[in-house]
Amino acid sequence: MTLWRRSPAHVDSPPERTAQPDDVLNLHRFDHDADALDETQPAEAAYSPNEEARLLRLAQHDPSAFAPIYEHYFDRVYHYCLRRVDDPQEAEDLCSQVFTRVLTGLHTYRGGLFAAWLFQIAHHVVVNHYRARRVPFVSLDTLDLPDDTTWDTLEEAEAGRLLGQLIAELTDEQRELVALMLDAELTSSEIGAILGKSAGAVRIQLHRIIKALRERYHKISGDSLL
Amino acid sequence: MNATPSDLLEVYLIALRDDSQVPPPPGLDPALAAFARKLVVEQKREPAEAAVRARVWQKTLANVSAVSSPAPRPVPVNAPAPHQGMTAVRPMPASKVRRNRSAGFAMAAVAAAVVVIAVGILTLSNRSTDGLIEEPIFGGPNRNADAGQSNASTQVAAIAATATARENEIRETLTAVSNQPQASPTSTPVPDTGLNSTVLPPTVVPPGEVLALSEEEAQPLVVGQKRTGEISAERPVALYHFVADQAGAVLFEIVPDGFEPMVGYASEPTLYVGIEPVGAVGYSVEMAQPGETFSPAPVLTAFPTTPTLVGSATVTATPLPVSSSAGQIATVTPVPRSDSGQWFNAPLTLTIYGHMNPNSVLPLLILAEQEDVYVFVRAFDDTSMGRFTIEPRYVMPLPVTYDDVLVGELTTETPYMVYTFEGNAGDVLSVEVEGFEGFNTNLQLGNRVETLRWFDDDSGPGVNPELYRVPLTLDDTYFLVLSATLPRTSGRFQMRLVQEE
Repeated sequence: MTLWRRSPAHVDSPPERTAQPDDVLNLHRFDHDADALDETQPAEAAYSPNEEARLLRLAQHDPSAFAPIYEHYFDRVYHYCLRRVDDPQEAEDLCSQVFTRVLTGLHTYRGGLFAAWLFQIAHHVVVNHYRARRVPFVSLDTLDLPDDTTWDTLEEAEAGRLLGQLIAELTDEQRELVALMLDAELTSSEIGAILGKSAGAVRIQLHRIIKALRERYHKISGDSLL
Repeated sequence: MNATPSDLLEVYLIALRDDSQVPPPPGLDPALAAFARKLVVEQKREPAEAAVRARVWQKTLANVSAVSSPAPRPVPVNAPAPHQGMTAVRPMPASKVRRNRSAGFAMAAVAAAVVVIAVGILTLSNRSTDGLIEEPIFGGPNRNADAGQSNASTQVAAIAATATARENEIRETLTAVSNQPQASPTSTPVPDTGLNSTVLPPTVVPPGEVLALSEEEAQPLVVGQKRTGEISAERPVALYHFVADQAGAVLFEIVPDGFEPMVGYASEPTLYVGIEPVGAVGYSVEMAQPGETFSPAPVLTAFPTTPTLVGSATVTATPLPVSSSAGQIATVTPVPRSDSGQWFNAPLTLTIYGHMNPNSVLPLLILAEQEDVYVFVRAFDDTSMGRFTIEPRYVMPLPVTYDDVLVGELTTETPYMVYTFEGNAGDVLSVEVEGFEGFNTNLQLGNRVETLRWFDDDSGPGVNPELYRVPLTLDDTYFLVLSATLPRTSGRFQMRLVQEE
């Protein structure tokens, strides 16, 4: 019987990408480049999906290449965190944790939809944050709002505030879905990938949440158009 | 398939991101559309102040600097070459000795540790189990650009003109919507069509079956390249060879046409040994062998049905000599592990099958850099046959750190989660998993340069996996894979990485 052997052809070939000794130095260089984060420049300058892929490849060797990606995604990540914790200072901390994990884990990024990967990390950072704080959530069904409250005319600011309040009082899972759709600006497919649900299930859940929000909003505001 | 209200609502929500005046797609409830618009407009936040952005950036950099080993680590000079690692069984702690194999089975240790059998979970040809690949929002026979124009098409054009490249999918979808017959606003959302949860029993292959495989038959598999194969009466097993060009969790996506496939792995194509629990029966021991003899002769290690990780470091496994013929039934009485009676102290029947057990779900395993693996594909029931495609790809891991508590859900579409973390030599790691409502999972741990994997199925409470005090021997990037144990099952889980003292 012939004993099969592992093919030796690959044994001595170097891996496609290996960490370089100056990777740590690159991080220090990245640090120096912090000053280069031009606060006056628009965040979206010269950014495209192709450019993103190129920068991500570069950033695996030279973290300073990550700066444009940070600029591009910052608002979405920050607003997502802000929606989830409703505290600007905490949102900043969480946002920083998210990008820290992205930067330190970038060498494990395997390509594919970067936004989904990024917000998967953000999702877990927020989940851990809540687990640490053990913040209770209130179900939409148990909102302690007076049923007979009606506002004849809601000023825009008031409408926004009421909507924000209604969203804030959703269950954790519901608010997560809303945050990923409205703030992170993801699609149902991307959200499903993060939460381990099918895109169809996410769509249906979002549909139900928004319908429920609408009914609650209508009940409180008396806005006949909605 | 007509667009459901939830489809239409999503399309509108996404279109509103770029143009708050965009008209809703036809078929969406006007009142709901008006509210959706109000919701998006009122809840749209202004861009964060530049000072905030800069502050977070500085904080991020400080965090990165504080991480002890933030950059990808080079492979240590004195680390075993990947091919050497394949032949050397790494010492296991006593608590995990039940997973150890005899020297004769060292070459099969990887395979035994990751008995991951695909049982038709990838039969939805247009879906990806990766979960990170977008699927079309909806499609169907009416996605036809030649259909008659309508006011809706004009509205769609307005959307298209303002959509960004990122919304190409949405724009395409809107076009499809406008060209479809009017979607019924009262149509019912389509519920998730998960596969049924029936667990198929294993089939015993008649004694004496020989898998006619040879090294020359192993077709190379390359990431991103889909191969077509066929199972027939003459060729009941297809054999492939894959070499990992980087470390990570590799998924072998099998899309069968008309039969239910099984997939197995081996570090050597000459033998395959895997051990998996089969309900109340105990464990099945599976073998696939190309000839009548092994060299050296195989010795299977038996272990009980309900092992735990508590107890002394007593050697507990019982070697079980096995003849070369398949279909053998053997019985062994394991030695009690400790006074607390953690070991199953009753005769344990081991049934030797000539094929892989379908109890594991995923053709997903962790490979080190340059590690190679042979992949078997065959029909589940040994009678059906047909064509299939197979394609390897890396699954993107989620970076985590020690003391993270991870809460998630495994579904029929995403039946695994892959995590990665940076570990240091000397770290002692435990991973605790709790499946909610009895959800049964298994756990794999591996790194970039070692090839012996940690695998656990039921060492935790109940059917939960657990890795207990695993000593990390290298500064390296480590990978964790949590999978559903039973095919086509879903459930939520909680997992915790603990750095032990």
